Amino acid sequence: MAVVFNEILLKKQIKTRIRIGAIAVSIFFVFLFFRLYYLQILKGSFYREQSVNNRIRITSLPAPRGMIVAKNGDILVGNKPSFDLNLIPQDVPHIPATFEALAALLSLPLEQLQKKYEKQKGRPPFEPVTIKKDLSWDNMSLVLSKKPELQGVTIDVIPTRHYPNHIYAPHVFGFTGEIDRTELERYAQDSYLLGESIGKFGLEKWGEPYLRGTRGGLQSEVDAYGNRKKILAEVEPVAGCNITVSLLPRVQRCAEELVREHPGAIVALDPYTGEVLAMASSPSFDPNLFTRGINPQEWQRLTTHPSHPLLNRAIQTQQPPGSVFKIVTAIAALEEKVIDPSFTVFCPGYLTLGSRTFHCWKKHGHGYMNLHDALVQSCDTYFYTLAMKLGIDTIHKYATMLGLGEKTGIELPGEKPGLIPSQEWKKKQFKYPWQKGETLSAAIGQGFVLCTPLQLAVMMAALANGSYVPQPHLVVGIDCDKKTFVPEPEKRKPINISAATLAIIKKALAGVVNEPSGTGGKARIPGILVGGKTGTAQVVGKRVYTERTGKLPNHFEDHAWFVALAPVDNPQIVVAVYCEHGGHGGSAAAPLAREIIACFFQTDYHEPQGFQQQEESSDEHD
Amino acid sequence: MMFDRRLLLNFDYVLFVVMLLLCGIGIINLYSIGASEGSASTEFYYRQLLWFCAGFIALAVFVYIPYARIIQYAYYIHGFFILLLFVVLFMGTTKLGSQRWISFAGFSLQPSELAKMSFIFALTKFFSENISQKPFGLRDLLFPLLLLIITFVPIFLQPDFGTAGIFCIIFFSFLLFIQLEKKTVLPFLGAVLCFLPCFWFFLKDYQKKRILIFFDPSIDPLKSGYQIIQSIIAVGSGGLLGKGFGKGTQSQLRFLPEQHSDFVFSVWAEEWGFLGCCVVLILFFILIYRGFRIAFSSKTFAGSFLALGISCLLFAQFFINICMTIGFFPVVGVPLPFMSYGGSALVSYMIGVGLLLNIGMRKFK
Repeated sequence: MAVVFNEILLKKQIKTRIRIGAIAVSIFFVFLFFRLYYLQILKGSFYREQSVNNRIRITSLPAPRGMIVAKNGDILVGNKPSFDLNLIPQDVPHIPATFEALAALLSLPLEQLQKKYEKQKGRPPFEPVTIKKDLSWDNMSLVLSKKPELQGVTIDVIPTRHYPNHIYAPHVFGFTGEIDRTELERYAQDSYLLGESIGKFGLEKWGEPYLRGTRGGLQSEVDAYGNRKKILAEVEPVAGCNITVSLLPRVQRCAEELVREHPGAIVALDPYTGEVLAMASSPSFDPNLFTRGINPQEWQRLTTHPSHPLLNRAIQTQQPPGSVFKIVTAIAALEEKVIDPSFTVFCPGYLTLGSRTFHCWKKHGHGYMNLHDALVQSCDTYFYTLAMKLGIDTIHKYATMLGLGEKTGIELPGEKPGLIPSQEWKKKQFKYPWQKGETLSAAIGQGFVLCTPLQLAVMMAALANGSYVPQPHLVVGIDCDKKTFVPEPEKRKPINISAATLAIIKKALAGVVNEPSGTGGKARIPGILVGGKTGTAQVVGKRVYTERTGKLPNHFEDHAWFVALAPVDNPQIVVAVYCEHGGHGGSAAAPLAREIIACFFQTDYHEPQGFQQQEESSDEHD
Repeated sequence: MMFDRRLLLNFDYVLFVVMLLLCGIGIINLYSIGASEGSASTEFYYRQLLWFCAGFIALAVFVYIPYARIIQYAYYIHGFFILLLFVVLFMGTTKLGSQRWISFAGFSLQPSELAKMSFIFALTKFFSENISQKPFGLRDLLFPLLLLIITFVPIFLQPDFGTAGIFCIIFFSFLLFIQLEKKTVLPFLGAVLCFLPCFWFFLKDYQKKRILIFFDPSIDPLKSGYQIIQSIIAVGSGGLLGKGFGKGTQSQLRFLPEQHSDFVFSVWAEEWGFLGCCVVLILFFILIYRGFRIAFSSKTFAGSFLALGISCLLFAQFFINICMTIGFFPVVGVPLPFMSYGGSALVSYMIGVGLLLNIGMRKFK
């Protein structure tokens, strides 16, 4: 019985509360009733007035994009104002008539204007539609003089990206362009507007979150002509952050001029910090083409051009490094103690392994060679011998230690990793075991081995500083409106190579350039002890083609390499030069390295006439 | 089995008709909005009509099954929806920057809407089984609190701040109708008050902004502040009789944001005026009043709690949404029951009404 009693009592309590609840709910309803009465009946005519000609507008105020500046304050990438012709459909009394008037005024085809307008259809009629970007002064004054007749037409000043030096490191700075559909979806969280600019390539892309800035806007009341009568509220745009880069404008300009003639790339680094002093890639393009929308023909021309001007060859070309790689093989042999520096090999011009013959580039052989001479004269037979003693996995270990075969981590998007083969890699890739002969090719930088110019420059930086592989980087500071970012200290990967080995290698590199028998004599500069190494990357199919026709077209010509450090005893700059189909490293690439080093040290040195030197030719093997 | 005539006698026709009227008004209103937005959104009213048919079937099913049976399995049902909420979180469809939907066969389902109902079932089961002369202490409330938290967290992470808030409101509305220990009330309120500011740190920037804007609209005059202004203009400009069907300039010229979800009421108010608003207000009042009446006259605790939970949910959604459109509440994304576009929500509320009818029919059992 007690339970029943409880239930009745409890039920009663709940019922009391339901009554209270119902009363509370009623009060809320009465509140809403009076609020609506106030808004719709008492203030009804006021709000109707406001809605009849809804004159409260939101105008977007675009933020100026951050600039890219050099350490000395030079503006490398900036902005300039652009005068855009906009149209607010709601304010235009008769759209076709307005278009006709505008077409006549600007002497532009009517269809072109209408096409721009059609594209924006389906958007709210109070949102401005851009009809023509970047009006000239003349056109602007024409439009302004007719303003009273052109209801709903406005001219707005928009800061636009401008690359003042035209073709000045376009591969490094990249370019901006109108945001596309996929990017709009990808950055949905960052509230980009249709038609807004976004970094598409290079540093512009990497630095997008810093460079972009924050859009502002106006909430204003306008009159029937669309003119602002009263500003109700304003949010100032915040300019994007300025990015300071390590490029030295003078050296960069030298580098660009040096590669202008032929496809190729030059990279110069500070060997201790990894700061990029110059990075040039050729052929080049004008980034200003992209800022306000590139036209389809120009785009077609850039993307289908056989020499790929949009490719940043400094980080996106991976080619066999050729004899440059002998530096790695030599270090591996010394560090693993498979030889001592006096180890001597007789080079008859070839080496036989089983039934196969591996040729040295010098047909009649170098004779007796020790390590120093083998590096200076780039003797292939010597390094074939080392390859057999080392095996591919040891070579792989040292190449990887020196930063080859993986992305360097520079701020530029699209970097290629290169490739350093190993037994494991080959098994995975080809389901076929590693062949001994392939080790011989790898030891002289042919076969599977692939490097980018930047990677070779980084390797030289590691040799120059002697203790670590620096992370190459361009950005040295990011300055924002209120705060300054200090970029993370670059990552340094320690290398474990003895001082004795490094000394032997550096001495040999100096010999390559400065000894009479060296292959890199064209990089010699009086007064500066330059060290370097030549390399020549075979182009597949060359021999077949030559045998058949006897003639060699340019696109089967070998790729020329030269890496350098200067001065050898206290390195301040390391350089990697890559000449696509340039021929031999010593003749094509070494002079460019000399020029860039001379430019860095500001000495005017040019090659004397009739200079003789050893020529390395491509290594012949299967 | 003989059909009990008393069931039919106690069927609340008024409640049923009021719901149909609200759905009808909702679809008419969506039709008007669709006409203004062009071809891309004419589908809204059509899809809503299809969902209404689905909801009608669901309603019939939930009228037929005795509610006691549903409450019996309440924990399993709610468990299933919690599972679904986590599924959404990890593999749902993202729209407008939040992950709330599961897509199938061209339709998308929003489990958080249906979970509102299952959460009410689960709380009803707990409170009707554990109610006794002894008031509830803090220790007794641990289980429902835990239930709230594991439902709240996945929705909060979607992120759907408005819906997550509704779950808290459901929970607290249950507490209003039971006896709490005197010494529990104070610490409980204290804990809630301490906990609220902590939430601030979990909010996304845009959510924080919305709340700050409510207190100071001048912070963001370009977006949320502008939305509220345009919504108030729309409501106010309706006047006594409104501008007429399909003639609301605020909505037709698309000054109004989120017309088919959060701000449907503004469209209605602009086109049908104060009289139209009063009709909607009265219909909702009858709906909620009838819900309370059914709770009042139910002979079982389960019936009362279930009816109260559903009525409070409907009221909270209604009240918050209207306050949003007239600038009395931050724009947190709480849609208007029966009128905002959204299939899962419509089906969920129709199930709710079905259950109210169900409890009313079986009040003597």
